[in-house]
Amino acid sequence: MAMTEMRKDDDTALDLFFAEARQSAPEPSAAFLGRILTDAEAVQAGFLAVPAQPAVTRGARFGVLGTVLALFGGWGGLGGMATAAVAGVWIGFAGSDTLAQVAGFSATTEAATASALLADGDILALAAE
Amino acid sequence: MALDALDDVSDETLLVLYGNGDRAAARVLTLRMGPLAFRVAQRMLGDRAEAEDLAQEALLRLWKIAPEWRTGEAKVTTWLYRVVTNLATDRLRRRRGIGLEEAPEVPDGAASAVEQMIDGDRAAALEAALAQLPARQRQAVVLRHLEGLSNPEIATAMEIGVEAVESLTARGKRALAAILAGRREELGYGHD
Repeated sequence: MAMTEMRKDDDTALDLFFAEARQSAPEPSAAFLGRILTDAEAVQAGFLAVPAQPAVTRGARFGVLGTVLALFGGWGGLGGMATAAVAGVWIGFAGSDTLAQVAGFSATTEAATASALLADGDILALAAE
Repeated sequence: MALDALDDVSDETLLVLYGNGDRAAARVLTLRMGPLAFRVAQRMLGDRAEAEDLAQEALLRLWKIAPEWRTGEAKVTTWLYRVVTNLATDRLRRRRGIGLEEAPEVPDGAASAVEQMIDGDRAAALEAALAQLPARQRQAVVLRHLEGLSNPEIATAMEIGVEAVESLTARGKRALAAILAGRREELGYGHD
């Protein structure tokens, strides 16, 4: 028998097996369905029993840490304070003579001129150069 | 709400009603989904007690997600097919103790296991043959040929592509044909 004919024959035979199995589908017991319904009702009772959640502030939710955070405006505020503190320590360590470099100025004559012009409030003069 | 009034209500709406505390919806859903979950679990596992246990676990998950269910996003039956067959696949993997990819197409001795069956019941022969398939092939064949799902529905339930579904069912059917070949004459399905 050719391979394709054999496969067609196999498919036909399998279809008969499948049809037979569909007709004799396994049925659940009443006890099983009773357990399922008990579960369903118990879970449903849980939905109904859940009390309305009171509004919770950020501070209250995280205890003492949350209260501190709330005082400084959350993690963002605290982060800004930490950055400022680190910068202060570094500036103190490096000394006042390097402060101009930190701010982006170089100790050149050109920068000194610009500073003088700005100090006089004559910004147009700087722009004209 | 009265049970009769819920007969024509869709599974998805019933689940939302259940999540809102409708007790009649709980009863109707139990009667609709309980038999489905059990039937698929039994066909996957071939063991009644284990199938009941698995179906109960799957349905418990359904009850718990009910409040978050959004109508129009998925069919309850597709969701349940997915959970039941995935749980069953996990159990079959543990039972066999090997990865599915390593499983042979038709394990040695599969045909002889079927031949050893005492009675000539065709459905039982098919169940015994299904038990010899790798879990993913069995999952695809059960959903396609016993539950009557379309290939796209199976693809959604199994979270794979349609082509992969076609490949799994084709390989599964070839393996079943090989396993059942020796039984066909005996069961009245011989060549004409």
